[in-house]
Amino acid sequence: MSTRRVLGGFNGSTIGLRTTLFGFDARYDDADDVTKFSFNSDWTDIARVHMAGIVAPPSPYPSAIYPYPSNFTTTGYDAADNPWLVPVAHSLGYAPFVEARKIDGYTVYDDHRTDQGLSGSYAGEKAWSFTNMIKLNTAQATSQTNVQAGESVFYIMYELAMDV
Amino acid sequence: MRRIHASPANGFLVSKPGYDPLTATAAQLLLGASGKYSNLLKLGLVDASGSVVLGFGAAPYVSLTSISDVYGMPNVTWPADSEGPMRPSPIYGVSAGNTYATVTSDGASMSVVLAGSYRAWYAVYSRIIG
Repeated sequence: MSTRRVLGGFNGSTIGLRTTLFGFDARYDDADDVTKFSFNSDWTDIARVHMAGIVAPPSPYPSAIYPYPSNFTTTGYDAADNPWLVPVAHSLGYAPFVEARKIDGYTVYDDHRTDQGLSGSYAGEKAWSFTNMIKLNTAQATSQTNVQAGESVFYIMYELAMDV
Repeated sequence: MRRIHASPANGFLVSKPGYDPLTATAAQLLLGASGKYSNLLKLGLVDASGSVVLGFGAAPYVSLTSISDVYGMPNVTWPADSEGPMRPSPIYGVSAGNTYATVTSDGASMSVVLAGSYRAWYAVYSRIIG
């Protein structure tokens, strides 16, 4: 029978904590294999998740065009201030790395985009990151940044600065 | 220097090398079981559409990223078998839908549908959908 967690001595001297994923043994499997171990106190660093959540588009829907980096020239405001971008405040003091995905109930999508064949710029940017907040792109725009009615955006904010 | 501390008052703490777990800041901890923050639970690769066993008791957050080869970029020579995350996904000009996954409400598994012939990697987090 495998043991999925060990707290104590390894190799006669090292004291540590190791936990494995289901099906692997904390005593005998390769402790540097991250596909087998969920935690090993010998690891020198772990990228922590600072925040995670789900945001819905603003209600009522803004009339603004969807945001992308160059649209301020045609809509009169910077893309970062676009009302489709839903802000989430944080206190990290730096612009963190963020993952964002479209979600509909229990279904999550690889990308906001749901079709192909766009000409010119791609408007699928999903998040903007700042030193005091992130902004999630919830824009509804047919065939481009498709967060459709009833859909939301979930985000994972890491404690990892993007300006390293 | 000790790097592991466990007590009823402070919970379970494991610090990075060089830091005392009792005085370390949150950023200096590898693990702070008394703290409230999310964790990345699992990473995996999907080669074909189908069911992936997760083995959890509630539906977790999952993110998907399709993978594509990186051939065809002008003026760049890549090593053989080079691959990377694909953005946008599907890539411009490819007639395919999104890769997506539907997690069962009990978190036991997820059904993954890959776009075209692409592979995808997934990350599972200790946060609950819904």
